[in-house]
Amino acid sequence: MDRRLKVLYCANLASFGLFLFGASHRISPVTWLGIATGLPNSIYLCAKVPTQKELEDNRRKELLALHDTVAKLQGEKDWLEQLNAGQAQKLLEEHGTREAKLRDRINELTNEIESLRSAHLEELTELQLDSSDERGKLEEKYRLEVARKQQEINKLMQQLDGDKQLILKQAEEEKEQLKSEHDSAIVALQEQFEQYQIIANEAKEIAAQRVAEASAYAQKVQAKEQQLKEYEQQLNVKEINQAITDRELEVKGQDLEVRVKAINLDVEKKLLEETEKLKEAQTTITQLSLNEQVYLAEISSLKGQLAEYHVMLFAEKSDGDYIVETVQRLLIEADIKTEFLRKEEKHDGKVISIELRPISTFESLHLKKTCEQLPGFLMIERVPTFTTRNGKITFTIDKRTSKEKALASREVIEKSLINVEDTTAKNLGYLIIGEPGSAKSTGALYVANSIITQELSQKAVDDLIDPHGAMLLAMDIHHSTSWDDAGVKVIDSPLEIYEQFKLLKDEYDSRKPGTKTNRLIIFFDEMAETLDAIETLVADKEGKKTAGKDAVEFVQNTYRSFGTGGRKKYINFVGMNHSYNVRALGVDGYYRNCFVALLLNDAARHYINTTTKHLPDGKKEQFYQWLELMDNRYIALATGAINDKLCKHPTHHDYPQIKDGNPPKNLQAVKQLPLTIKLVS
Amino acid sequence: METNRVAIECMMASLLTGLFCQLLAVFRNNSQLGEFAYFSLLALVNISTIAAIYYLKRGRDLGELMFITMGVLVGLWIGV
Repeated sequence: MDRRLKVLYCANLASFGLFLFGASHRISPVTWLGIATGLPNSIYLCAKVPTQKELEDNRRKELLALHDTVAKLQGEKDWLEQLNAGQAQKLLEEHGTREAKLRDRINELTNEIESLRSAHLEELTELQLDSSDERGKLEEKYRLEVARKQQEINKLMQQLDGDKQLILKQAEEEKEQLKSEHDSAIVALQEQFEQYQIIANEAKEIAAQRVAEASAYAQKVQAKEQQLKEYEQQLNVKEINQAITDRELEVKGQDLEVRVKAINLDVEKKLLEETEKLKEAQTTITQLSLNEQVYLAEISSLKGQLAEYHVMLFAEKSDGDYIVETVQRLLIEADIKTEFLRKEEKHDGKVISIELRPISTFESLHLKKTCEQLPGFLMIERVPTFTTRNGKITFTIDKRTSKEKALASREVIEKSLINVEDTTAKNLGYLIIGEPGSAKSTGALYVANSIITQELSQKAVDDLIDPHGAMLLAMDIHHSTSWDDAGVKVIDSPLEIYEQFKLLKDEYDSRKPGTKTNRLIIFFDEMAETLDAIETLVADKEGKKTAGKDAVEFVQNTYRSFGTGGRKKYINFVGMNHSYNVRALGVDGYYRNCFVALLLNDAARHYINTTTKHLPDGKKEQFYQWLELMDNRYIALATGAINDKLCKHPTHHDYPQIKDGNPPKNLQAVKQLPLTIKLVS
Repeated sequence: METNRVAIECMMASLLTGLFCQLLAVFRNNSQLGEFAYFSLLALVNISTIAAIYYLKRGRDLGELMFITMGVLVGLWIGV
């Protein structure tokens, strides 16, 4: 087992002990500590420590490995024994062959001796026959030779014996050595074998144990099988029982069917009874619904009574006034309870204002709804208005028609009208806008007159040579007779107008502050049309389209600079056109505010109806009333450099209707100075 | 000393039951848990602990199951 795991196991035991201690002594922190340390440790150990099954598997694998090694060693031992046995046999065989060789050699030598002896004996006998002397000599000679041969034989014998002894000794030594080696090897093998025998015995024991377990298990299995058989038999019995019960059930089912039929009959009877009851219930329900309607009607009448009571509650204070009562009743229906304070009538009783004090919280949305209801009750045309101020609700009921209302406010509006003279104070340029026949040209002359006759500042008096006169120059492609009547120089050709603008630009540039000059008033009628004509004519003349556009741009820039800088150089530009929009004038919104714009007749109407969203409601209403009052009459509106204000038409204010040929009124002759500026020839 | 797997599992079962018992006791003391809810949760927790550990072992040994149950009972005895 791993040492680390053992340590962890000990730690886990300690944690568990801590947990037991903490829990038994009711020391909560110690218990928590025990749980906090023990639980993760246990989980880790569960993951790491092998189960019993895994351990058994490991042991089984080890045993199998040992068995393999024992078999291997047994094989090795057999092989070694075989090897040693062969070696000894070989040595013995070698020794035998050597011995045989030596014995053959000895036999050869003894045979030779025998043959030599026999030869010697024959010679000896012959010699014995020939002579005894010679015989003696020869005998001696042979004796010597025999002795020498004997010695040789002896020597050989000795050598042979020595060799034999040596070989035998060597063989003996080798044999002993081999024997000792063999013995030691056998001893070692026996030792190993004994060890393996022990291991094998252990393995056999374990195997026997396993076999015993297996046999026990097999017995268990057999027992289970027997049990199964018994169960099967029991099941068979059960099946038979089931069949019997099925039959019984069938019989019971038949009985039940009979009973069900009887019950069905009963149920039908009961159903009939129930339907009768249901009919009765329905009749009672219809009666009840009738009653409900009666109750609802009663509730609504009671609500009405309640509202009347509420009204009666404040009746004393409101002096039984129908309008006040109606307003208060409607307010009560909208959950707003009020107290009557004051009622005021104006304009012969046609404008009534009622002041109420709220005695409950309210929402202005409810008030608005009440106001919308009121015309139906009070037979009035317009929805009354309400204001909530200083803890009071003031309803203003206006019974007048819009015409009456406008007429009523006519005096006020007429008082608020301004004159053209009131617009000249800033010494700016003018744009006079109006449809044909709206008296633009005469209006322009009127404007010029008012510019000249205005009360001048000291600086202007100093700067101007003649402060009570002005040079006038008109540019009008339609050549209006008004200019001729007034004796104004007119330029009516578009190209000449263009050239004149160039000269005017030079004049504008040449006027420096500090030098005395005369006032110059330039009238430029039909601005948009003239600009279009200049564009086409210059383009034709130059042969370039851009040239026309450049010319138009030049003219526009020039009169725009008159608008912005003309005030200081005493050049007043009075432009006239039918349209007041940016594109027609070539002057955008902010530059337009450098000019005083006088909108005449339809231009003013159009402006009021379309472009007065920025104005306060009171002023707007005044404008609308003015339009209603001055229907088909000459009107004017001043805008641009000054606040939007209704203005008297410069020359035709008094005429009761618009009509061509109405001569201008109040138009005085302008004091003209001779034109000293450069002019186109 | 030999580490015993079953002993570790028993300890774990005991500690786990103890933890759940402590937690439930905390909720009960805070009056967030009624009596019936407390006891039913206790039973549920213990049964699920036994089942979880038993199936974690992937074993089919009744003896080991008994050991774990005993561990849980010890935890219950200590915790409640």
